[in-house]
Amino acid sequence: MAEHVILVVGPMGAGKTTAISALSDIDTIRTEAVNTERDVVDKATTTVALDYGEIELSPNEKIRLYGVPGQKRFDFMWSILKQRAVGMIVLVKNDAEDPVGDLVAFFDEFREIHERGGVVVGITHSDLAPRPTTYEYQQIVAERYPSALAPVFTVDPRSRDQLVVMLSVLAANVDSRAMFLAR
Amino acid sequence: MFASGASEVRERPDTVGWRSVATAIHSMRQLPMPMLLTVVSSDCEPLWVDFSTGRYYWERPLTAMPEQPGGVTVYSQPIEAGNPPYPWVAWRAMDPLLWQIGRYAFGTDRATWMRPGDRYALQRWPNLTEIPHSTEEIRMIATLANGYLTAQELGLLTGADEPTAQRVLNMLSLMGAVKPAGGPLAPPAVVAKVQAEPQQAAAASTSNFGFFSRLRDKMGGR
Repeated sequence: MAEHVILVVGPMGAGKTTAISALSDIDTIRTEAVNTERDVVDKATTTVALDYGEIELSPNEKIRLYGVPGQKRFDFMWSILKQRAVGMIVLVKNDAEDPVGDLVAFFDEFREIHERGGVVVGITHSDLAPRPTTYEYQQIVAERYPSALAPVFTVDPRSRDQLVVMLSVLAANVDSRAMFLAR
Repeated sequence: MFASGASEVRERPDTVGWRSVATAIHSMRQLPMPMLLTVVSSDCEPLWVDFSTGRYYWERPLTAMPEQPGGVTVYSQPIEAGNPPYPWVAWRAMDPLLWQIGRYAFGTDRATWMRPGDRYALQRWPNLTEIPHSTEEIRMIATLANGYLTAQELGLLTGADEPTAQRVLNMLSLMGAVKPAGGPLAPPAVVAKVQAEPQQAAAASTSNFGFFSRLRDKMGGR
């Protein structure tokens, strides 16, 4: 069985759980609990352990989607998962207090996945906060992490079509990078 | 609203199609001062492109863009920095407009500002959740993200024909999403490898994008 582990990361309220539900073939395995950080995000529940979904490409090939907890106090899980991950979708909530800081924090934490060319960034809530724009995010990422070019798209995490575009770009990037590195 | 001394509007000759518009957009993107481009056509409503904010306004949706508008005239005028024109209209991000103009402007010919044999690499991804695109176009953009390629090499690695690859390069170049190599550059090793086995090139282009192809088969997409 070939497996591709893809992480969905981002700060609380960015739409990770919604995105996995929109993509998964199976009912998402979802673990939520009372949000103890209501001063940060006004949301009754939040992800405190892994969300999990699957996409079956064939009987012998599967994508495993893991929604990684947004709160820093769960970062012990990040190091376990990132070793297995072929790619990562970073969701950034554009109307958060410091969306650029959020993006940079996740890029720093998951740098090795980014350097493998397997990162796609989705900007959520851009209807509420149009800036920073995708162009501005790309400039920031290119300046800080010149080794790989990260796609930055606006996305509604409820839109399966938009998430399929993001996942497709991630897969094409992984394939393309492997093609250029092949001996 | 307009910079002082900007009352003289330069008019360009009437043309058919998007070629003159694309050429004007490309040259205006190189200018250091903020500019407003106005496109007037006998077939559709006036189109405004504000380079200072990277936005455009058009009453017409892009899905109704004519492939060959008639009686096209392009006007350009400098505008004041920090004082975008016509604040009462609903401006939209420019990328989808440029992507579409780039598709129609030159067909599968090379854009007027590109030179034969030049190599290009991606410098930023277009916002593909807002732009209608094909599976083949994703494959080509991802390939350009990893090396400097000519249109012929891009086609070779992705299984596209050279004119189709050229059209995608035109579109990306108009958007400022690709950059040319600064000087003579050897092709990436993968190109030589595929060129050495031409009978396997088509098969290689498919197998090189196996994960992506299987995902698109499963999830849908043109």
